[in-house]
Amino acid sequence: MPAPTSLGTNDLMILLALMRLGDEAYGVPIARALEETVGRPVALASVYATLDRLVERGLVESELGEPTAERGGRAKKYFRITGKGVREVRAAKQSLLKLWKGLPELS
Amino acid sequence: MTTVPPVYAARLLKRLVPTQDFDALLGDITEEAPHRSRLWYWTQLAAAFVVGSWRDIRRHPPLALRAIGIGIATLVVVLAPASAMLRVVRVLSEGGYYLGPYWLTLPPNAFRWLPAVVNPLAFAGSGWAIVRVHRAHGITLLVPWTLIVCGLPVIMLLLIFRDAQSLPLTAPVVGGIVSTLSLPVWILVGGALALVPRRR
Repeated sequence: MPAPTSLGTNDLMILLALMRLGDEAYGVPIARALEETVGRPVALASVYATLDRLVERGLVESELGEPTAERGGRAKKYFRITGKGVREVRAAKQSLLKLWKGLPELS
Repeated sequence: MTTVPPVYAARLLKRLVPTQDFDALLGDITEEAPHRSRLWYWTQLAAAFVVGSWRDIRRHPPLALRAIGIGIATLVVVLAPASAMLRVVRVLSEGGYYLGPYWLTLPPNAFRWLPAVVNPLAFAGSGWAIVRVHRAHGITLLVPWTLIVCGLPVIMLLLIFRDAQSLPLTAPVVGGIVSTLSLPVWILVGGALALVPRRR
C-alpha cells in the first residue's frame, strides 16, 4: 500500500504540468499550463514559491539556462520532476482514485 | 495591448526585497509582459513583493520579532518626550507662563496640532529604524510591524462603528481616523528613506 501523499492541490498541478512540458518546463509555460487549468491568471511568484518548496523536498530539480535578450539578459530556470516526485504523483493519484470510487456520481 | 516593462520597477523590487533571488522570475515577467496588459505586469511585481516578503519572514522569525520590538522601542523613545512637550505646549496655548518680564504664550489650540506632526514622524522613525537595522532584508521586515499598526485603525474603526450612535463624525473625529489610517504609509515612507543610498 503506498504511503499517504502530502501533496497539496497546487503541488500536484505543478508536478503534472512539469511532466507534460518535459524539457521545456520553466516559469512562463508552467504558469500558462496552470492558467489553462484553473481558468484565471496565475501569479508567477506563487508558482516559483511552490517550485522552490518542491525543490527543497527533492521532488523537483532545477537548472539554469542561457540568458536571452527578450528576458532582459536573465537566464531561464528549467525545472524537472525527479523519480521521487513521480512516485509522489502516483501515490496522490491512487489516493484520489480510492476516494473517487466511493462516489460514482462524480465519475 | 502590449507592454514594455519599465526597468526601474524590477530594480525597485530587487532593492525592496534583496534576500530573494528574483532573476529567473523577473526574466519570465519581462518575457511575458509584451503579451499581457500593464495591469498584469504590476500585479506580478506586487505578487513577487508579497510572496518574497512572506518567505523572508518565514525564514527569519526571530528577526521579524526583533523588528516589531524595534518599532515599539522607537515609538517609546520618540513619543515619551513628545508627550512631555505636549503638556508644555498645552499650558502655553491655554494661558502661558510669565518668565521674568516676558509672557510666554502660544495661539489657542496650538497643542491640538502637535500629535498630527509628532505621530507621523514617530511612525516614520520606527520604519526607518527597522530597515536601518535590517538593511540586508530591504523593507520585508517592515511587513509584520506594519500589519500590527494596521490593526490599530481597524480596531478603532470597529469601536467607532459600534458607538456610531453616540459618536458624531465631527472634523476632529474624521481627522483622527484619517491620521491613524495614514500611519502605515508613514512607516513605509520611513523604511524607504532608510534604503536611499548615501552620497559619498
